[in-house]
Amino acid sequence: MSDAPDSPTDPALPPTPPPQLVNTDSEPPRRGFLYKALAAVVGAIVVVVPAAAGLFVFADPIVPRKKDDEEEQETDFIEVGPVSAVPDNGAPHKFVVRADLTDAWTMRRDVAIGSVYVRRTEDGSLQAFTASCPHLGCAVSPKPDGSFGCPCHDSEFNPDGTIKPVTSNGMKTVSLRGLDELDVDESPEGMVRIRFQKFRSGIAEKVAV
Amino acid sequence: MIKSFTNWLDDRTGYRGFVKDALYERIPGGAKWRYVWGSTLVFAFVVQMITGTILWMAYSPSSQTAWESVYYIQHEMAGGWLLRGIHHYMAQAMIVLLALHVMQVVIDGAYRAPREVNFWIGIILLLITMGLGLTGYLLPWDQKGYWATKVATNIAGSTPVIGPYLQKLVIGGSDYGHHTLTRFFALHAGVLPAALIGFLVIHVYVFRRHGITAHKPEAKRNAHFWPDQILRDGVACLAVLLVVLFLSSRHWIGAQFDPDVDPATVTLGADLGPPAEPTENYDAARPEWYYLSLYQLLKYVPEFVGAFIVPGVALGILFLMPILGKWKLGHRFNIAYVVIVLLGAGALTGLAIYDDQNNPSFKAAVTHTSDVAQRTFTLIDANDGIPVEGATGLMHNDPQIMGPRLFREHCAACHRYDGHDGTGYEPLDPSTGKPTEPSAADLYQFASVEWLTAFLDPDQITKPHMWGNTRFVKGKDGSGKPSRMVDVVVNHIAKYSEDDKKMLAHGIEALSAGADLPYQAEINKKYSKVVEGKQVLDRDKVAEGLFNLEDLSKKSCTDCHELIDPDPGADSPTLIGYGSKEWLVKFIGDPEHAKFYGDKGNDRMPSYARDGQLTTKQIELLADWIRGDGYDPKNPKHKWPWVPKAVAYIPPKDTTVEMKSADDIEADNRKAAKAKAAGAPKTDNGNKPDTPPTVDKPDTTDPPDTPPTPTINLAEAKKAGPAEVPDTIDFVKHVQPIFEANCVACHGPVKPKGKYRMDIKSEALKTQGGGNIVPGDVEESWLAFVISVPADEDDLMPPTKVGGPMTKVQIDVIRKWIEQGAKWPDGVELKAKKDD
Repeated sequence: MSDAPDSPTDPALPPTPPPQLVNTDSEPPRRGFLYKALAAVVGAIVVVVPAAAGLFVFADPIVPRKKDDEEEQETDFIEVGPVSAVPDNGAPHKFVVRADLTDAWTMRRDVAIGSVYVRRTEDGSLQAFTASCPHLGCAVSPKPDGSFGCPCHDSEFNPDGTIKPVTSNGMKTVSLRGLDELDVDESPEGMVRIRFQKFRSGIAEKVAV
Repeated sequence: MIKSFTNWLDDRTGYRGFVKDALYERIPGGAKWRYVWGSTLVFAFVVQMITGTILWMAYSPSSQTAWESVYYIQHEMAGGWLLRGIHHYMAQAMIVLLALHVMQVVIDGAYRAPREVNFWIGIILLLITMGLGLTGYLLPWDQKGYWATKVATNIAGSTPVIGPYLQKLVIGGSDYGHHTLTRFFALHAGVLPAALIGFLVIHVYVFRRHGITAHKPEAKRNAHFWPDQILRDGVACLAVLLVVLFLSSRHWIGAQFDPDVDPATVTLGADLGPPAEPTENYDAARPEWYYLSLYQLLKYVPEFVGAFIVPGVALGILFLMPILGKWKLGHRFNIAYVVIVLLGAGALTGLAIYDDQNNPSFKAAVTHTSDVAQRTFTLIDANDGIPVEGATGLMHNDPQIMGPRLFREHCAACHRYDGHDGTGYEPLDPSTGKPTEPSAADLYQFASVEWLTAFLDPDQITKPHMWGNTRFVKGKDGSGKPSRMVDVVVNHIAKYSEDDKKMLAHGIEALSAGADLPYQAEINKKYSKVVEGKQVLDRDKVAEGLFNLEDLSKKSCTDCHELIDPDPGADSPTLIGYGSKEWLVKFIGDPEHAKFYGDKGNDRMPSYARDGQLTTKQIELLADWIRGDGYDPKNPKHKWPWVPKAVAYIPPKDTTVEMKSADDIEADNRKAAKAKAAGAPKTDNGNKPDTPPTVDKPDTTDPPDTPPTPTINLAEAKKAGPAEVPDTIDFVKHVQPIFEANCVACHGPVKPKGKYRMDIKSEALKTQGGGNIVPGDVEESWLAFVISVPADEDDLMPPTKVGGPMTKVQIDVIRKWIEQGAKWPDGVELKAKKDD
């Protein structure tokens, strides 16, 4: 209240004088330019530096790092279960893939990281698919006849993983490629081993991510 | 006093001018209901800001805590469900209000100059709101949000060129995890609301600059925003709020009028599904309803067209409306376009809902996940909170959650559970669209009185829900020859006298009581006694009941099964402890164990533990679930942490039961599985763990009163009898040596197998219990049959493990002897030729 002494009403106050503008016209033009340039540079520094720091952290997921390269080379076969579990009649058997999983700061040991279907082909060898639909990544399920169906956009696949051009609803399968095959082999101890990978969905080519 | 203060304030802030501008905006043609949509949207957004901020105070974005913190808001915090409900439904209300607002703007032509820029800003606001809905859907980290958002981010990932980078930036790495949640949360609660506020301020400012678009010049007097329009806006906001409150509490309101629904179990506010599990398929993964049209579109067209081109073109035309509007018919085109887009989206949404309503796997998944969620809540309640590893830690130890899943993955290819795959879905035949027939028994209420009665019913055992599609009915390799069990039920039980039927029913009850199934309270009580104030199974009563099964006049169960006392010669699954947890665990673990079907009798069932397909822990969960066991909050006897009944085995009198620990069994199983896989030679007993399913340890120091397993001198047995089949068979000369070398060791005076003696005429030729030797009729004689079957049949006599089958000549001699009248001179008694 100290700056409004005794005045009962505001209109009684003297009008505020308009701010005195500095007459830049009287400055030499070169100095004016210098000030402007300097302001732009200072302004840019105070904005860009923190923004850049933020950008680095934001882009961290796509910044290649040494550890990733090492891990990529280490992508190895994972034992998922006994070969005896795979039926002889060509029907798929679901195995859950367990491995250590790094989730940002958490390291989870021996957790389920995905599921795969393994079946026997006509020549008796093993064939493995990731359970993730190549269309948009929902989990496909096997049907009683050994074929696969996706619960999201109704894509259907033959028992050997190829696309069923026409689904049981009479629709066209929208997935652009068949189920993604994974490298599979049998260990000397009779266990199914899978090289578990993930692939880009929604495109016609099979590209590992 | 107040006046002097407001004067002072206005002098220093100029607020009066601001308020005047805000409230006394001129409304040409007067206040209208049509103008309320913008205000309701601002209201809805403010509600979202307030509710969202409070939710933020209780939410913890990480894959270990997101679901758990939302659970806590929903179920524990005061008013939490209401807050979530308002936030959830107000978000959907915003979408509806946006559609109305856009429609009103387009119909009024409010996109025309000079309002083009504000129209574009409005579209940006619409997109931001859609983005808020998309990012918010994931945050509870339940199955629904997880799988639906996975599709959304995969769409981002399929963008040409930048897709993979975009996807990684959005989900914070190459996989879903903590950073997916932190990034989605930052978008949902930080970036998008900030952008929305920024654009909203510009939107409102520019709107005020141009004023309301009068649809057409009206004769009515102009009005001011305050109070005419504000009253209308307020009423509209109140209506929106009431709708949202109703949607939040509609299940609770419904429960008040429906006596069948328990208000304590209905969903209050927004639904919360079970926690996200990356390896647990979710067949009902759908986006929020306002994305269903785009979702449905992706069923028809390639993903790039459905997710980029169609929405891109649709938005592009919306953006171009101000320019198109200049064309002579432009305004009409714009109106028609909005109507067509909304109708098209509505039709696609309707189709999506229609498809799902006619999709049994979708409906089963919805019901099943809702059950899993309720069960998870129950477990959390019982545990007084969520363990540090998260809610899945509780779920993975619960038979009622894990049992159906394990059944679906490992058993439902052949078995059913009450007609479905354990999770409520009946597998459909893709070619006919009809449910597929099970190829093994339906295990719903396995070992209950009801189940056993159906199993032993001549009309039911050959049906698909029992053994109809097994080799026990169809015969090995479809030979059509049923197994002994099926033969007994179909040919003998069907002809039972009333007395036999009563005995059978009594026996079934006792057998089922021995399983000690938790849901058969009355029967359990009948066969129990009270010891130290506790109700325990009375083994004497059970044994007494089981004697009925032994004393049936035709085909006693003990001919093939051990029932009360261990019988090393029994070659069919043991009935000691039948249906108990221990029995089930061991049966599922290895049905080919000598105590069960052995190598030959088993149909197609895998040895889950021996082959390493399931861990002992998983088998126990499965067994508990099949037995209907599991923590029940309504049962006053159940305490937490709940421990299932370990053993319900009925040992012979005066014995105690010793079980191997689960770890030991698993270690054994793994060893055996590896040995098997490595191709180790099979010993007599296979290389299965040679622990019988029940290990009996006599209490007393006296050895048990069981004879040693009889053996046959193999060389002797093969040589016995004539070298060629003579024309006339003489019993003493030709048949007696064969019987003595091959049969009497087991079918002798001491504990004869199947209670059938072949050492004396009166027993060997007796017809009671089915004709083993029917003089003159080879076809009717069971003996002639069992000695003639191929070596891999389980009916074969003598069994392969004691040297069977006999030589061709021996078989023909016996058959011919029966054919010629099975003459057995009186007084001739046979003695077994033993090994030593």
